[in-house]
Amino acid sequence: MKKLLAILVVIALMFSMAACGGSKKPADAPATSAPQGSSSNNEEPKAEPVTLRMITWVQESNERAIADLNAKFSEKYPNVSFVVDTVNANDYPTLQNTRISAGDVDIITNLSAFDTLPQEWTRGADMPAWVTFIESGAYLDITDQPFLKNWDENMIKNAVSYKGRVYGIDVGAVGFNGLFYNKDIFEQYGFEEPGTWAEFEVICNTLKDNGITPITVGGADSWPLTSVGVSGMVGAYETDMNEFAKGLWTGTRKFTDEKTMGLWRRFEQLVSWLEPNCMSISYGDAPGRFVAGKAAMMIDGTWNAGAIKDLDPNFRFGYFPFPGDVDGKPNQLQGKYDMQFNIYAKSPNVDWCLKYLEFLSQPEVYAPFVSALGFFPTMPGVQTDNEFVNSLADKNQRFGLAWEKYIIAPKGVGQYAAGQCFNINLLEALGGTVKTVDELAQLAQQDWDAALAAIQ
Amino acid sequence: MQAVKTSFKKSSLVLGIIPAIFFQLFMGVGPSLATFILSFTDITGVKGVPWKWVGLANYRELFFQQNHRDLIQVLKNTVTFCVAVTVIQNFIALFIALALNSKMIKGRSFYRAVVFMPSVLGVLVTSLVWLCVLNPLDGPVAKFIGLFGLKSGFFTSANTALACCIFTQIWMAMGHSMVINLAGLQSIPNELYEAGAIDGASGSQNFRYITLPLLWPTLNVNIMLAIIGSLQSFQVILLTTGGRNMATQTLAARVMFFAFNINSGSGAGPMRQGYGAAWAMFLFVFILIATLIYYRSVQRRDDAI
Amino acid sequence: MKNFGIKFLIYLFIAIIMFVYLFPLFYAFNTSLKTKLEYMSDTTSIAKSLHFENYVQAFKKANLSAYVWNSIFYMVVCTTLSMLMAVFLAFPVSRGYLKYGKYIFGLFVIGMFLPDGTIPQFQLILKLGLYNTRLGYMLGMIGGGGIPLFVYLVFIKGIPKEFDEAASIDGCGYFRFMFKILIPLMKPAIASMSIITAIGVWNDIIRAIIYLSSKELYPITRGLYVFQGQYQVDMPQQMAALIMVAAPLIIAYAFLQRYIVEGIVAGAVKS
Repeated sequence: MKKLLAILVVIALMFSMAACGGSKKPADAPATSAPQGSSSNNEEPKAEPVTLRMITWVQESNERAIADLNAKFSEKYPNVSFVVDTVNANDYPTLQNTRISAGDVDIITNLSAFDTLPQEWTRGADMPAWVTFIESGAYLDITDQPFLKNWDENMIKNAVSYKGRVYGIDVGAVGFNGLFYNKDIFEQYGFEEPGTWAEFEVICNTLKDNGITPITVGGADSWPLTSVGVSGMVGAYETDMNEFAKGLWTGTRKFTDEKTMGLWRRFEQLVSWLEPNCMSISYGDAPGRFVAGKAAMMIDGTWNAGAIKDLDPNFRFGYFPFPGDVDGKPNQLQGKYDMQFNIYAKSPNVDWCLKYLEFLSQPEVYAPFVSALGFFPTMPGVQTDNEFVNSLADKNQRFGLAWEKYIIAPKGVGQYAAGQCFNINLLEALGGTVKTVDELAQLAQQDWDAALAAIQ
Repeated sequence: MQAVKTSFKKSSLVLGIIPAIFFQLFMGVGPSLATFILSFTDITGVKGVPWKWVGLANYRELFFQQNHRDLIQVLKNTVTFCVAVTVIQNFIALFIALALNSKMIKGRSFYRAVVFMPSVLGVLVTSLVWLCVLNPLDGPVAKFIGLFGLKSGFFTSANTALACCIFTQIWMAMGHSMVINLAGLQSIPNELYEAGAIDGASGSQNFRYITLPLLWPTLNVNIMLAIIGSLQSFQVILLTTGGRNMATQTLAARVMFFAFNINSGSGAGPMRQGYGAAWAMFLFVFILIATLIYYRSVQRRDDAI
Repeated sequence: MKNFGIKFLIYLFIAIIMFVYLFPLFYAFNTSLKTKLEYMSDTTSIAKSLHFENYVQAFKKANLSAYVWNSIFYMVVCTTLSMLMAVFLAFPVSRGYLKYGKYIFGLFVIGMFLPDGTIPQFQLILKLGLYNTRLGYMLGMIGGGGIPLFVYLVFIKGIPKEFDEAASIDGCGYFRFMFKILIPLMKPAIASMSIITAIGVWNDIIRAIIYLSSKELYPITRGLYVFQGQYQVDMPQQMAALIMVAAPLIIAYAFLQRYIVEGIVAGAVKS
């Protein structure tokens, strides 16, 4: 009867209202770090409570640094609170995509600066995701903001600009072309940080002969080995990585040419020094193994020093880049500009987001922030008080980009040449199907050529 | 056609039916057809990004620009996964059903309950549990085969990863098949077996001439469900090994990888849903062909019988 | 004696199967009772003492209480609406009361033979601005078709038409008839089908990954998935979280097992 119908309709409406109310306003959710805002604030005209939604990836030291920063901001502006959502780095691009799609975010952190833009010789390569975001109007253009002048010019020009306009701030650089090492074990065997490959060989072989696993890595997540490890190895071998990348595209360099085979040989050695089954160790577990002494060294990026310290504050460790023929001792760090802050252009809280970046642009706020992050500062005149970062000062004289930022693979390239191209995880020794590096080099070149040929 | 007469008001009947039709059109048939259309665009999963018609470009990329060897590997994986799951799952399901149908065994309903339980646990719980048990470093299975001097990378080793996915899939879904088989077995009238016993038929003769033919329709259903189900299945693969390892990628997994970047690693790039839709169409055609092939071979068998 | 031999083989076979099916869960439970160090040193030992605090910690860390409410909400709403839609669809079609009933039914059958519409569904939800909302998430899990529809169709055929006629003689309206008479008559079928649908909604993970990105909205499966990605170092806690997610399912299953199995069987037989 009509009554029943009416009741049904009402129920359905109730449900859908509950459903719609479900998420659009996250103001109901407790902030992860900041105290709930009171509504009185003398400085700003608009003092109603505001919640800024941020996204970032899982990395404990980052998350803590951001939480502290947010707490400080909320101290100054008590009406502002924060909700920070995080996912594992492997799933982070999806989170970015989907939150921006939904318009459900105010401040976005990016895994890196705007990099790996296709060059004129990388025909047919896909635009990186960040270009899509800029062109869809997701990132706010902040070129004319006054707080930009606090930051390093080079960073502004090279890391966060596109077609002459600035869209974000990158808060620090990291190195990831090397390994952490256990100082106690090194001292026990009288090792010094190696400066050449030969010295590195001696260290690793000696360790192996004495029953100590030389190197561990979080291979299960793939990128710690295939991106970080590979970048380090290539960066220690090729003096001009841009030329190498270009040469691969134009055909003057091949994966199978004599010079590259030299690098493959080194990879072969590296694989023999890795912890067996390292491809089953997740990135989150690797520091634990390193600190427990299961291996003397660990392939990783400088950003993870905080995690190691947290596991055991008394553990003595250092970091050195993969040694090679590229420069002399102390070998220089290569890496990238790391965390970038972007503002979602269509956010209703753009003004507060800008205030946030302005707040961060003050040296007295930035300095403790970058120290907590463990990054190399991108603000001139700022000294980090992060002990680990400062210990690497001599390796940071001529900071350069890592191989990962130079190489762009052709569209649709096969698995043997994908990513950073030296996919040693496909070797039998690491759970793959390819027996030797020679074979892998051939397969990589075949895949590479096939992809180049397929470009229209 | 003429409707059967009823005194219920037509308008009420229609009103009751409208929600179902609405949902079916908007969330079912509509999107299915739209997959076809979207496969000709370069739509991404990001709102606000302009998208355009690209004609056959997605298909061209799928078939020609993509590395051939990788494409063939995906197809091989798909076929392997489908055949292995269908055959093994149904074999085991049949045996267990036979065992649990036999009056000789005590505690049958308990065994039945245990075997069916994984279906209730869901894909995520199943995947996580087996990732833990099949831990290559020092998990229980690794230790066990270590007693024989064997080693394996299980989910992380290219040689065994697909097999592990197949095993996990079967573990999860076999109860379903078995229960259906059991019902089919129980619907075979006992008189037939009694008649067979009078005629002096042996156990295996019973099976060949009574059980099998009468169970055939049930088996048929199970096999069809397994074929289509395994071709469309990607959850176990993506949850255990993610989209990065080509060793375990099947067509269905590739669709979700390109469209949603599930568990795909940081080098995945934007969600390419136009391209993913092209893969989905490819998968659809593949399923059609597989179903037709199976149907044909069954028909021939039926004709032979 | 031959009988004994066969019996032995069958029991052996069953024993193996039981082991393969029960071991993983016991192993997970055992692991969940260890401390992290205990697990790292030996993954296969029996837990020395029962560290139930793993459960408390995992519960808090994974924010399971909030997620459970979400799961219950999604499950109840989606199952109820789907069930209602299927019943209201099955009745006229089964009785033939509608002129185009056969075509309408065909609309639902054909859905099974069309390509997968996940991608356009996503685009549609996105366009409607329902991404990362409860409504958007649930829309994809509500529908009147599938196995329940088939089962209801056949079941209704078994309900005598006299009920319909009696209702109209009494001046009973259509909706009153449905709710007061027909649905109660269909209880067994509805029970089985609802449980199956409910389990499907409760266990959904892929849709949750695709459509939800705010923690407040996560169902329990999504919470477990995120937990696994974030706190990889502590396997015992992870297993504790997993057991907590699995336990209600196992308990419910123990009680409702009969209905579930009957439902599956009915569905397969009709299709």
